[in-house]
Amino acid sequence: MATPIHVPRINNNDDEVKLIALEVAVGDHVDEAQVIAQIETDKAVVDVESPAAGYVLAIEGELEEMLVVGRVFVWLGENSDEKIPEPSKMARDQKISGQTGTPTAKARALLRKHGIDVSEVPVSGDRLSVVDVERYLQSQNRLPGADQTDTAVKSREMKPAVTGKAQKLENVERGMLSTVIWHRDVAVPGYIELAYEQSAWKEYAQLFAQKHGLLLDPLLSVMAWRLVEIAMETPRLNATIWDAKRYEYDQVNLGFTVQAGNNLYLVVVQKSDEIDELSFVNKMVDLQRKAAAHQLKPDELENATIGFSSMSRWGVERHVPILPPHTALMIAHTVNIKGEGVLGASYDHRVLNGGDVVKVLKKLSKPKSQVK
Amino acid sequence: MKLDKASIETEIKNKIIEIADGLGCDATGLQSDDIIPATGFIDSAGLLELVAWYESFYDIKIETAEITIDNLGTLSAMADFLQKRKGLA
Amino acid sequence: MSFVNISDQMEKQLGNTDGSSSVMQIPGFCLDEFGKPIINSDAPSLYAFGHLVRCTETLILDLFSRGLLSGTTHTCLGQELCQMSVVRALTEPDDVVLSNHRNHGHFMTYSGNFLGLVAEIMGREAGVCGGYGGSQHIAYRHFHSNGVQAGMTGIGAGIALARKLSDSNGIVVSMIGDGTLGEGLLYESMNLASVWNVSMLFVVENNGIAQTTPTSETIAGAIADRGKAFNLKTWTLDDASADFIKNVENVVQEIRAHTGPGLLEITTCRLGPHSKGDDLRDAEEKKRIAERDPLAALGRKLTDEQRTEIEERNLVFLKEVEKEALASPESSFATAPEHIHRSRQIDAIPSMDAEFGNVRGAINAALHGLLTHTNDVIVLGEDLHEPYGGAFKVTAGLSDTFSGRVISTPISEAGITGAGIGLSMSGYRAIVEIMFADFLTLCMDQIYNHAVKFPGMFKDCEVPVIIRAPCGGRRGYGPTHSQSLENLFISVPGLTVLYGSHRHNVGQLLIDAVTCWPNPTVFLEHKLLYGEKQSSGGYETVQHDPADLGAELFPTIRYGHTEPDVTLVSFGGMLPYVERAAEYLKNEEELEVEIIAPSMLSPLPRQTLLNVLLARQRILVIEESHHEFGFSAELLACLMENGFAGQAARVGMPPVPIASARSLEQDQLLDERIIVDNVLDLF
Repeated sequence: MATPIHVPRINNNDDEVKLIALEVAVGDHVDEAQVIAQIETDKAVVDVESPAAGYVLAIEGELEEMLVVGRVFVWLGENSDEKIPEPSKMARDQKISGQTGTPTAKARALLRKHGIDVSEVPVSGDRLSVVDVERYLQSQNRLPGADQTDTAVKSREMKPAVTGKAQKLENVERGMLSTVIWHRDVAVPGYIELAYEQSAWKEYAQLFAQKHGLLLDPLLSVMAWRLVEIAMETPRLNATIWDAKRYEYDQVNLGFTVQAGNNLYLVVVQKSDEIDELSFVNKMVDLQRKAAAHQLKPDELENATIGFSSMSRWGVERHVPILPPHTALMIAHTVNIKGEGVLGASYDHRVLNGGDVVKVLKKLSKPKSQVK
Repeated sequence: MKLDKASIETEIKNKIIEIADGLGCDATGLQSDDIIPATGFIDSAGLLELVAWYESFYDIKIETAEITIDNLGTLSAMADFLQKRKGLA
Repeated sequence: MSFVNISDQMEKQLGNTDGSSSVMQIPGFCLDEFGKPIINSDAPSLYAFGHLVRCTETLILDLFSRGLLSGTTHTCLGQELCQMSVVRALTEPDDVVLSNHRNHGHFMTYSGNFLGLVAEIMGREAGVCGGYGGSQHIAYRHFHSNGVQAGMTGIGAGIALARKLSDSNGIVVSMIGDGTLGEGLLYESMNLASVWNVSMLFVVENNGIAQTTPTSETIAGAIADRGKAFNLKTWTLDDASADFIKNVENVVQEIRAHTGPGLLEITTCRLGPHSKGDDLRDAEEKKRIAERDPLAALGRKLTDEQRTEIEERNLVFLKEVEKEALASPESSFATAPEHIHRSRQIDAIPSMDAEFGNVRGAINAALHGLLTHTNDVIVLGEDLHEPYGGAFKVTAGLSDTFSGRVISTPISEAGITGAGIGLSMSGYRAIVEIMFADFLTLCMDQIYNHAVKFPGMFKDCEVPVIIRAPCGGRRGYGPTHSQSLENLFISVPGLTVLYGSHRHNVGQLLIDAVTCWPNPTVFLEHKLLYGEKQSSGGYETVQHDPADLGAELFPTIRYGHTEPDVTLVSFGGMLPYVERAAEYLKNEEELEVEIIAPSMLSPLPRQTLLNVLLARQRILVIEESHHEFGFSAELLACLMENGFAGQAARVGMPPVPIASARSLEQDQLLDERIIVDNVLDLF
């Protein structure tokens, strides 16, 4: 019967000792009391002697390995071909069992993120890896990392960067929050549009251009300016939802879509409420020129609190703008192929309702007064 | 690059025709003293594109306040403005 | 010494620095320079004060009947002379009175603050503790009472040791009743007082009844024999005997000779109920007690004229006390307190290297540094002396170098924890070693009802005690020597629980706990980490959030990727396993792994942890302890309350005992395989 040699306890406080020398190899014959190995604790080096004469059947441990006190590390036999027993549970359970054949955890996360079935992806090695998934995505002309739909992680509602006052919602207002609860943490868009008679605005813009000798038609800019004025009168238009409260911004940052070549920009006139109409119109020209030259600075492109978009240039019937982050209202202006003016708006239904929006569109459909 | 008035006007007109073409308009009939925005060949965005081209093609810098009918309203005005800016008139 | 400061602070807090008590001149009595009434031993003086005490108790019962008291109260009717006798004989400013639920007579004799007592029990601002303590919990100068039977006795032994170490002439008297003789801690304390040979007098007020149960049914053997068994000088006196007051004075004088502790049994009788409405004794018995009444007997020694004059002036005085107390506003918080922690740099000790040969050495060096650079650190524990050197040899080499300040104690975990509290309340900084964290359960009452209560109730009463204990399994020590009890202790309101690892600077944690954190603290050390090299191993300190008390001193550390696929939150002895699991997950599962390891489990560094964890996608919290109702439960609840939107899980020890056999223990405690499996469940 095979004889085990156990890792000895050197002192009370060391449960593991380091194997620093092995004097024998499998198949060697050893004498009783022959030194077969050396082990080390943080206090001493100790020789391990063979308790009997015999042949080394197996060595379970490697040089420099930390061995748990009490486990078997050498088997001796009377003959060199004796069988050794199955390893004990303590010795057996030291290693984490591998997951051969299955995708790695990271690869699984990637598959789920991109909605890919594991069977679609060719495996290059022992397990399906991230490299395999990425290679597959490229072969499908999909950019790794492009999809942001990691189902494991829901998005969180971030506090807006622009300062504001958190207004408690009235009970009736909270009702809408609950009605659209499945979307509570992100804007819930609605869309409304009205036809409007363009002549009053055209006349206004023309007089404004004449008065200031403008080359560029200021029509859209003065309409956008009117929106700024309306937002100043009605703070709930210039707001978002944060922390289950309506968050009314302290300033009006008007975002305006500008198509420049193949790029669409949302240029932002920061603090529009602090400048006059002419400065606003000039600022719009400035930003459009910078957009055309692709020279906008980051702060000219971020933190819009309300928006204005026009596709009159293309004569579209209708366009439904996407709400910029943390805004509740984006005007959608166009002139259709028949030459009829249309004022529409995308809006966050958590903040505004259809009635609110119709009121804004009606106010916006003609100038407030004559050119001053 | 020729900076005589006729050459400048021709160059600018060609650019306007190109921009108008993109918007589905034919601007070949544009005259030297036509008020460009009033012709309807190109819209505000087209005008901006024209100004951006004008600045970069002739290597001049125009302030926003200078973008007026008086300075840039016609082919003729644009040619005069350029010559003045280049010290040629 | 902090115990002295309490009184100053209490007076300030109450806004009666001139002493409303001293404004309210007690008729017939002067105060000594420390504000203690001078009560002479002649019959008129004793009767006058005793009558005042009795009438105050009657007033309190009357207020109770009128619904004007907060909670309950225990009067000393019939025991007035008994309660006055020892306290009036205490003449040194350093003398200490530790009392219990029946403390009114002791307090009035010690302080002369009748209004302070009545208003305290009524829950008024003029109360001596602003209404926080009520009838049973009072701190004033060196008077301290609490509501747990025998709970103050170990503390008394510690205070008496502090008096001895600082060569004070003061003595400690610990008041208990005959009912207290059923409590085990009392015997630990008597033993401690005796082996330390300190000047402490245990006073057993034997009124023959414990609440409603006659003493004969609850006490075996003689009371005096208990004192003798511990080699205490022992006396038995009767408060109805002729020379009672004089004899008590002699007993106090003998203790004052500083030749060792004593036990004084006073035979007395309670005239009233234990509390209210729980007097079930028969009429005969009550009649006998009334006839015995020593105060009435004393009154009979006076002329009718004398007696009437005293009684009338006392009633006038108490009318005034009642009026003032009723006029005092109901106690209210300016701001309701949210925690009990204080912050204070006590003194500077050279800082410790972050890298150290091993954790045991780092703690030993920290203790060495503390003992070298301060005079007031005292290390207490079982078998600390050479050549054994304490549990796991952490205190090796200290007892010889710092003789008298590294003290091997009896096996009395509750007693030495109490003594540590007493030392800490007396200006010393006690570091108590409990041999195995499993035995901390024996210390629980001292921690839960005493150490964290005093600083919470009494402004500027600090209890900067540190209780160190090795914890954790994997040594095959079995169910009562392998546990990780942090789940119990982090739930103690106001207790600080520190649990470092070889990745922290453990020595510095201990030094900072002792020198910068004057709050009761449990300091846990995993026994398997003692031999580990102390090294930061690539961990970095997480920026502490200023909202988290103590988070700067006791840092949370992190390791690994800042945009991880999974974050492992763990601490203490789990870290080597967590690190191996992280290594595997990185190499075999292609995961970016982050490890977060706080060193302070309570108060939880909430905001510091939230700042890191809220944005994480997947979090696994890993504990060696029973995780149900534990650290992970609190942390995950906190994440949930703050809108965490990722995946979270936890893993720990199921609610079963830890087995002794190594192979069974291995199947119970977490290792890297179980951690890996739990992480993979998130993917």
